[in-house]
Amino acid sequence: MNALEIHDLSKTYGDFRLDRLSLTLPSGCIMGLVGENGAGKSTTIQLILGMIRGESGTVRIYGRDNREGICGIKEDLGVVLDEAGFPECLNAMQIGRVLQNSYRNWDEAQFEGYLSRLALPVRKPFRSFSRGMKMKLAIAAALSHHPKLLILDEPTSGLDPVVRSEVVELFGEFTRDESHAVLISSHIVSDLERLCDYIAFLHKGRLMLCEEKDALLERYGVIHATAAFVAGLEPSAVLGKRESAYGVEALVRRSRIPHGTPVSPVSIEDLFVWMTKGDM
Amino acid sequence: MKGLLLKDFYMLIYYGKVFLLLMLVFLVAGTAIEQNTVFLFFPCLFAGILPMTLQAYDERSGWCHFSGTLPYTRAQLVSVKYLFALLLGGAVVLLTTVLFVLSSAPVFSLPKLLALLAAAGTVTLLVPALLLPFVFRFGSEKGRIAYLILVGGLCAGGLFFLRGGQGQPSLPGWAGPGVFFGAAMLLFAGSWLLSVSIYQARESV
Repeated sequence: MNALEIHDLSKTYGDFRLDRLSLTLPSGCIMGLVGENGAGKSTTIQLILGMIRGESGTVRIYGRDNREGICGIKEDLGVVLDEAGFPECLNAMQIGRVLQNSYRNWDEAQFEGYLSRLALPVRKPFRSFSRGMKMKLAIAAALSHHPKLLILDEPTSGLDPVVRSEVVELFGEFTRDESHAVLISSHIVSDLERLCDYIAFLHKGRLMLCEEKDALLERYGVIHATAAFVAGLEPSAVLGKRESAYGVEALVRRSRIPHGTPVSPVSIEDLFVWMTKGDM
Repeated sequence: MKGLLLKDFYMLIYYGKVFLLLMLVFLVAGTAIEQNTVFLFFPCLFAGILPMTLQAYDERSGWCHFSGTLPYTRAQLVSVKYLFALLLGGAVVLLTTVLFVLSSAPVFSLPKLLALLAAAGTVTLLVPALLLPFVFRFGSEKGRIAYLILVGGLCAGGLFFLRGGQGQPSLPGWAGPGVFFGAAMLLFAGSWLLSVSIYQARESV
């Protein structure tokens, strides 16, 4: 079953338009939503959660339309926004009690387990937490009511590498259950590369691609060649190129270049930059 | 909505300490100073203001945005502030009554008590009824202007209304305040519905 199905979703804010976005996230998978600032990642997440209204299109979460019975749907969602949003004066225990009285499936023991594992203080007010601690608490809270789908909006931004590694590990553990899924947006593409099964590129409100990560890495590569060699390739083979005094570096479709041409692997981050900027 | 009420209760304990202390001071002053019941209405005024104060803290911490991810409807997110106003106001009116009865002993006047209850209930309901729709429509920053106008108006109006012929504050007969209380209840219910519809029509939570 698909955890998330988005079909033709559109939303306009002044000059910005999220344009007929369609994507599907199967259960048991992690999808990374990659895009520059203002690409539409947060808009997409808010539309999924029904926090804003779309102009057209549908969102289905485990088969249920998000315009019908959104409260019931949210029982199955764990959400982390880029700002945790907990009241500043509350401590972790009080936040736990508030959420315990909000979610039907809240698991107090699990929450306490996460607090202990993530070394979070129980009695300190939330306002005295560091950015990393705030995010870890938000993640602990999002995981403690047995959600099926985690929706994470820039959860790792501003975190140091140690904390990032801890939270990425938690997300990995979460998807060991095949009925679970994660949609995660981030600027930090290296985290997504480590974690995700699917990658979706959003650029200026449009979905550039949405594919399995491994297929992407197999399909595309970088060649270092002379300008004449690159000019001789069929146009659809070259997605972007960078010229220098030493030759040309080009992002290519492996299947469309002559057999035997040496091709280097491309990282997801480079692939995104190449695809959004084209010729540089 | 238990979770939302609990959150507001925790916040009241933390942020409302000064308000709670002032309420006690005014309650004691209102019962200790013979024939001067005007102080008894200030705790009711504070109780009415507190839901708006908590909403301002919610906006500042990002709770308003985050609460959109929780399993609550927009109507519930609004209704909790009205419920909280009713619970807090109810507790204050109850405390006012108890202190008034204790301070009146051994002489006890039922019409006077009813008048006090109706007037206290009116003030308690009127403040959130008039302020909360502004807060949900314009946010607590702009809502503060409405708050200042209202508090000034209530203080001036309350003093004028309660001041007797000899310059001593006294309670009028209970029928008048009873009518005002009925009107305040209707206004509170209308305000609740209006705030829900304002919040539901908003582009984003």
